[in-house]
Amino acid sequence: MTPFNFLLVLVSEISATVGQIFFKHAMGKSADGMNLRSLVGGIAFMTLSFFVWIALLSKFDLSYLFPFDGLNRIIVVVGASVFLKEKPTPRIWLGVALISVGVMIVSATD
Amino acid sequence: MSTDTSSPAITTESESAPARHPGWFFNPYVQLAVSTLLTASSHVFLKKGSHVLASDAWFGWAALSSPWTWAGIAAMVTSLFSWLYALRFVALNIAFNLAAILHALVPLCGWLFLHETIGLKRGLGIALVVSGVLVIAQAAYEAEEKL
Repeated sequence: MTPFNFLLVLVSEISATVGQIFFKHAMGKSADGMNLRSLVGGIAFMTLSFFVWIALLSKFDLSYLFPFDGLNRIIVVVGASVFLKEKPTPRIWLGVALISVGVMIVSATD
Repeated sequence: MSTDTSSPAITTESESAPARHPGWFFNPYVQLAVSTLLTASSHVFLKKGSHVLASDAWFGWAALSSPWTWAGIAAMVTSLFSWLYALRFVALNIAFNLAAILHALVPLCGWLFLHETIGLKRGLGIALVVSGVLVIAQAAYEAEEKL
């Protein structure tokens, strides 16, 4: 995988994660309906993620590309520790390590 | 793009008991299976639809000209409904671990329906990713339980 395509993978995965956060915010806790602005923001990020993902699908095998979707968990872990100051537990680090090594091995089969 | 474990899941005690479902089709576990299979097939459909794209495309909107892409979108949207329905009844750990199973199921579908070659190396990498996603899913479930 070229650096540019890997960048596209990151764009797709990060915008999917950001979209999820927008959706969660849009649904909120209040009973008085949902936050429309967050909903539109969520849809925008999800749309970006979706079409970038399709462009990547056109270039790679599905069985090659899908493991990269596991990076999503790593983005959530990193995001939670940076923005929410959550300390990942050793087990979460183990999961991050397994996914990282797995994706690296898959990426060598292009 | 898989159904994400980070999405909010609301289960209340009153709803968690699978009381009466109108027929087997509305059994939440059947719907979980339906959701998983629909998600996997949506990726197969989207892959088929992506063939119409130019090789240097980075934003695949032109794939909307393929009926496969629309089939993929339909499968994805339907799977979301099954997923949200099932989450009203099913424990969160099952939902979390299901996302991990998809990481095995989707490459399997690539081999089965798209005739992709999965060698030893790629198979090993996929297995590591699946185990990593499983480990994080279980850690996330236990963190959720403590709340």
